Amino acid sequence: MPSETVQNENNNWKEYLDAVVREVKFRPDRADIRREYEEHLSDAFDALREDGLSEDDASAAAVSNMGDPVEAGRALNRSHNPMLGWIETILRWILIFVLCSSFPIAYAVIGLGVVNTLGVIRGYSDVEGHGELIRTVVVGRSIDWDGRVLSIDEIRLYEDGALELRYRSRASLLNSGRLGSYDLPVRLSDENGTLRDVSNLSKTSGGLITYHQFLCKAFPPDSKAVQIEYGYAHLYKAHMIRFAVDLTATGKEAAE
Amino acid sequence: MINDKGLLGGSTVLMLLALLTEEDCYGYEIIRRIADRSDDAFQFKEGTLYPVLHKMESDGLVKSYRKETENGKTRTYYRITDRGAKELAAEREKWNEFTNAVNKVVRGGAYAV
Repeated sequence: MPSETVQNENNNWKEYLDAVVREVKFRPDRADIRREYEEHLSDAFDALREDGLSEDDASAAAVSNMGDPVEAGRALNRSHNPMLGWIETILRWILIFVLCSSFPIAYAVIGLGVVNTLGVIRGYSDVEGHGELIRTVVVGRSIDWDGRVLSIDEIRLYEDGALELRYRSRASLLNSGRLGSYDLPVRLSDENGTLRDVSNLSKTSGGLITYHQFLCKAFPPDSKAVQIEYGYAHLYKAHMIRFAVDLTATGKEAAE
Repeated sequence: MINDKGLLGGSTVLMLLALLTEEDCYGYEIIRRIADRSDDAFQFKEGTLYPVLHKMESDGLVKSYRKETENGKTRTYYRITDRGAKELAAEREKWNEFTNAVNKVVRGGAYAV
């Protein structure tokens, strides 16, 4: 029952980690602390497995060797003083602000940093209800398009024949007159050029970056390629982005 | 096995600084080295190591950084600072004074019998 074991291991660990970081009042430091403890648990788990313990026993022993999470958390809280932490954080931002105040690009980068720090960027969400993910075709193609940059990240193929397209859009840093996302139509057609129904699954805005997910519920199985079109075909033909992605090999992309 | 908190508490920083003088380490490595070298005499709860390390970092005795291990995993390593090295020298001296004094008392007592 490997999946159950992993579940159990994660729950054990999650409980311990939650209990440790809960005691740390300075929230910005929680993620690093959690990561350090999690990595320790993982190293301890590996070593205990090498010593011959079962997965369950190793997982439990790794946690119990850690001792009392509340005691550790309170001790951590004493060296992660909220007041000093905030002062340090604010001073750092003021310094960055002063140093960069004459560079617009730096502003944009800092803006992204702020947005990221605030946890606004959430990225893609998992798609459920289409069976298991069979294959991910990494596209990794960025297109500068009318002051926005589109990054076509990947295409995912699911068990029930669904095809998902994931791409990000953001304002080009040098042409940052417009923010917000463009919701231009996306059209997908199969290798024979037949247009397929596509639904806009989700759009997660992360401030400057927007994450788009499109789903074609029934893409012909065993297709060798998918044709992607982006933009209003009838309005701006010259502005259309059109290219094909090879579905047979990961990462292979056919020339337009 | 020595589990006395006071004793271990007092000498933990000394031991950590001494270990880190030899080589930069991440937390789990430190636990393993202390256990190996002390023949498992020191078995403190592993979760209590990080509060000590973080306190040492905020006191400027060590500096942490992320680095890949030989196995390709990324871990938080600790490096001793100049201030840490000075602290180590001072702590070593105090420790020697302390053990000398204890030895004198213990031996003196033995001669007296």
